Amino acid sequence: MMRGEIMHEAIRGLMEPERRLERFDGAIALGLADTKAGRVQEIEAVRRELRDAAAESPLTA
Amino acid sequence: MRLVITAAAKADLLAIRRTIGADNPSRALSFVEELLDRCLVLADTPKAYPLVTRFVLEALAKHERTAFLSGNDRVDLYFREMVSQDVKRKYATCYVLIERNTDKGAGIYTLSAHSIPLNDLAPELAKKLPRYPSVPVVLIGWMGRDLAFRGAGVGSLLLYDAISRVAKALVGAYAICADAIADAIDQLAAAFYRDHQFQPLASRP
Repeated sequence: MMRGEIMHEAIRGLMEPERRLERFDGAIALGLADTKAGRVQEIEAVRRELRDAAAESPLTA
Repeated sequence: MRLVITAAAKADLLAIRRTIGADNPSRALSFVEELLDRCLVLADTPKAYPLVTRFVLEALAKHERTAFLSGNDRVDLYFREMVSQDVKRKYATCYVLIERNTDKGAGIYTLSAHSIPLNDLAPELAKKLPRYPSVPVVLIGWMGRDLAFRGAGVGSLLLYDAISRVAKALVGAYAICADAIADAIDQLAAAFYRDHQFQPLASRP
């Protein structure tokens, strides 16, 4: 027999992947909206921008 | 395949760079560049990172049952010849774990309404419960895994799905219980349930 408290603890653990999937679904929806609206860049263009940004404002610990 | 970075993804990359940079500035850019490199791989092998799980659980319908072989004759016989009658009469609900790619049944389990005598519970547990003579529970009547899927974690998947369904059910059930009779095969089943934090009943130690 598995008691209610243990069951609910197990459920909490089980729900975590579901919550992660929900967040993931949200991220995909955001990405699709960006794509539809043309808010996209080639990957190498993003790489250049990141390098330029790093050169201009290096992060400090 | 053409691969582009969306505005949202770029914002995430910038945020990742900032977060890592707070601890390790020299690593921040190289880490983000590694992420971009991984993204590039997707253009050549878009199926390299599947989003779907290997298995899906479905209520028993017109699933192929004759090929199911768990290694336990009683489970196999029940699943092949008897379960649909129990489902039809609403004595049990049956769920089947299907491998998506092959459509093959990897495991089954049934759930039924059940009750256990209050006296069967450990005294420290029973004293916290209402003084009704029996406790409402859900019984995992049958559970089996096809031998072809040994070691794939099918038993745990079935059990967690059962727990999840019982916990979300609209009908009250204090606990979920399973039957494991004292023969050699069911000793394995008993060990499986113990591993998953099930506790023996007083009348069935």
